Amino acid sequence: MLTCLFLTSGLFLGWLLGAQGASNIFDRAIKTRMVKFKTAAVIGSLFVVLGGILQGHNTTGTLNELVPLETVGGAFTIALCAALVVITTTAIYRFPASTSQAIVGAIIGWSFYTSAGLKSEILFKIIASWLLAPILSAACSFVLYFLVRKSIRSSRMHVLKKESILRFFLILAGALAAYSLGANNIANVTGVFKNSFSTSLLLGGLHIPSAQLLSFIASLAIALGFFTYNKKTKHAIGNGILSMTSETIIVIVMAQALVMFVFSGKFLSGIFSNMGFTALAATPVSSSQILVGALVGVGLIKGILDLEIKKALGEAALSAITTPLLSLIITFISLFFMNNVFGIQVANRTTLPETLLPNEAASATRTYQIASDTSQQILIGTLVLLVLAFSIYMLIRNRRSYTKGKSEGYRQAKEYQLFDYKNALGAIEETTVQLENVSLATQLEKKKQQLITYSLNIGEQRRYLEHIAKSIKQAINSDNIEVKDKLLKEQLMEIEQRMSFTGEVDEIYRQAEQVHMTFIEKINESYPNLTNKERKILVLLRIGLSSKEMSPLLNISTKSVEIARYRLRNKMGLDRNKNLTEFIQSI
Amino acid sequence: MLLKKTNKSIELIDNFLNCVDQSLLLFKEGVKNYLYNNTENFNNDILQLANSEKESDNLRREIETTLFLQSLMPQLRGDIMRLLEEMDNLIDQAKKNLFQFEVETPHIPAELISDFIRLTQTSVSAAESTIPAAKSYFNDPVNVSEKIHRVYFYEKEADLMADIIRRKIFKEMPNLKLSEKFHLRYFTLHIENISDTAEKVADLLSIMAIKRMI
Repeated sequence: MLTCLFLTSGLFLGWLLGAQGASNIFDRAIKTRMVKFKTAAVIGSLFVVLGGILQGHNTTGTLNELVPLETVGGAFTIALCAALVVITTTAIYRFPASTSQAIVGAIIGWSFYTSAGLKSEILFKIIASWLLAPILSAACSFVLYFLVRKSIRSSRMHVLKKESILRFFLILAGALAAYSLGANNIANVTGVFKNSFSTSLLLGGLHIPSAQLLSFIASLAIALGFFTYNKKTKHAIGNGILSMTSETIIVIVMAQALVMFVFSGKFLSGIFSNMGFTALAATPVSSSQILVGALVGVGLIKGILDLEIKKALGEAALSAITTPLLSLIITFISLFFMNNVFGIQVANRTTLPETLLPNEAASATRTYQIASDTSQQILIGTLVLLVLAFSIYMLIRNRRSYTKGKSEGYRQAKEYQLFDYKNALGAIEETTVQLENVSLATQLEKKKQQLITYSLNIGEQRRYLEHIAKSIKQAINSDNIEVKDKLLKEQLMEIEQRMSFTGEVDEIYRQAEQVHMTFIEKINESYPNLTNKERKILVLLRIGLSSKEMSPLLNISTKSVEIARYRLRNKMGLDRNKNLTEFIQSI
Repeated sequence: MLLKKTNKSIELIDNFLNCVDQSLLLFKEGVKNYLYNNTENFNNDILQLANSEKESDNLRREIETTLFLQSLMPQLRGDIMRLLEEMDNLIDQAKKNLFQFEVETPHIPAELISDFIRLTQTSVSAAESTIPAAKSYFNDPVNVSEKIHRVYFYEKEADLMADIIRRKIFKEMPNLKLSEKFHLRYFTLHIENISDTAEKVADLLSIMAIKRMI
């Protein structure tokens, strides 16, 4: 019972791992609706269990080789601290922290605390694998994408057929990636519990040994993660980085599957040994970092290594450095409390240095040290509950900050929209005012011209009246009747001449010219041989004046106007039947 | 099983494209028959074009349903549906134009007949060139740009011809009434519009091809 309770921290870590794995493998396929969530979850969980049971022992062995951990209390603390670090660093960097790096960091922390011998050669191999995995993934995705794209382009396959085939292969690649995830990362859950978990199961006649049972339980926890991962998350790696075509998605998933598969077995170590290098161990690697590597590979071939990819690379590197270090420190501190405060045995007495061994005399005086099995169960239960509460708190905080950010975004967008509308309205208002100003200025100019004309007219009239007054005065003052008559006749003639309204006619003609500008242009084009007087008659005809109305304006008789019209008809080549006025109106 | 359904969808798309091709041919023949006063053949063309339009509508709806029901190409299907809609517009326009010829019976002067035939042929050629381009999008997106180049060329030519016709109508035909001139101008515009829609299809195809190649 106590062992099962201790195992909860490992299972929690397994659940986290499953959720991350599902996001890394299937998120893009689900978001682009190439694979349904249910299909992805069922296939993923099934193959993760298979991978964990069939091939998980290799990486578990490596972690076990790094340092043999035989106490369940120590394993519990390591898994718990790793889980906490994964949650915290993921929340900080918004980049899924590696459970493998967290667990290895925690193991190092445990070895520091207990002074247990850490095999530096294995540790070196693990770190080398962590560095190599993303590079291998980039190379893998580069080659795969090149081949896939070339084969698709050369095949000239119909897009529908291509999509159907790619979808089938995507499910296959996802299954393979889930299998590799199970085979590679199950060590993060089972590695620390392997030696301390000794429960076996007898089902009918079938005996399931403890190692297989542990793998099975851990795989189930990972599978649960596949079912419960947040498919609405916007922080999945690669979202919005590259245009996620089916080819890109399949290559990324395939690269993840291949790299994790390679690091799950002895295959790579064999190659390295044959090449004369130090053999690399089967190591649990980070699926998120492999994914970033795959994205870089595809980005390189597409020629898009934009800011987002560089940002993801930076986050991956930061997370890879911070996670193991933070895990190391937190585990070290937690082990101290576990050992000294709660009295939980975190290591074998043979491996624990004397200073850390529980002192019989001291234990008698420490009232807070809990020793009984029942109390330990309560304590462990409380700890597990606390961790759960912490996780839920982090989850709620994340969601709140996301919702807050979203609503803030909406608010800002609305404000921007409002601002845009206001700007647009302002611009319209400005244009209207400008147009009004232009119109007012034109009117003002016209009025000014009119005023000038009026004032000139008044001046002219005044001068003329003065001239008449002077002539009449001369006539009055003159004694000679002949001179008087002459002066008065001259004045009469002048007044009659003045009555011909030449200026006014010119003004009418000028205004008509402005209104019928196109008509005058057409007349000038079509009948260039017309005289000025004839053009004037045409304009007056266009206005709609009759011969009688025209005669005083032109200062000629009605008969003369009729003759002028007759000449016009001849010059314009009009038939007898055609009406001149109608013809002019139709131009 | 999955490929069987996919093959059915491919067949539907091919049928739709064939339907577009046939409709454009009918439109071309219809205009020719109208201009040469072959009333019987013209009426026959209208009837066939109306049937073709109905068939293309049905095919488009069936393709839409199939794509959605089988969740085929969730990323591309929006674009593909838009492409099919635009191509369906070509048929709609062709049908509408032929019906307008039938209802309004525009008087086309003898000296403009050859111009109208040339304009119809060029405009329809632009529309016809979208079909190999669309087929290329489905099978070989790299060559789409090469194919749509022809659409742009024919569209430009159609614009030029329409301008020439309009100029002739308004500048060189004083005997025509203004109402007749307007009428002829509208028919020039209607025929020209087919090439404009073809240009829209070409624009859409070029973007879609880029999307597929990224």
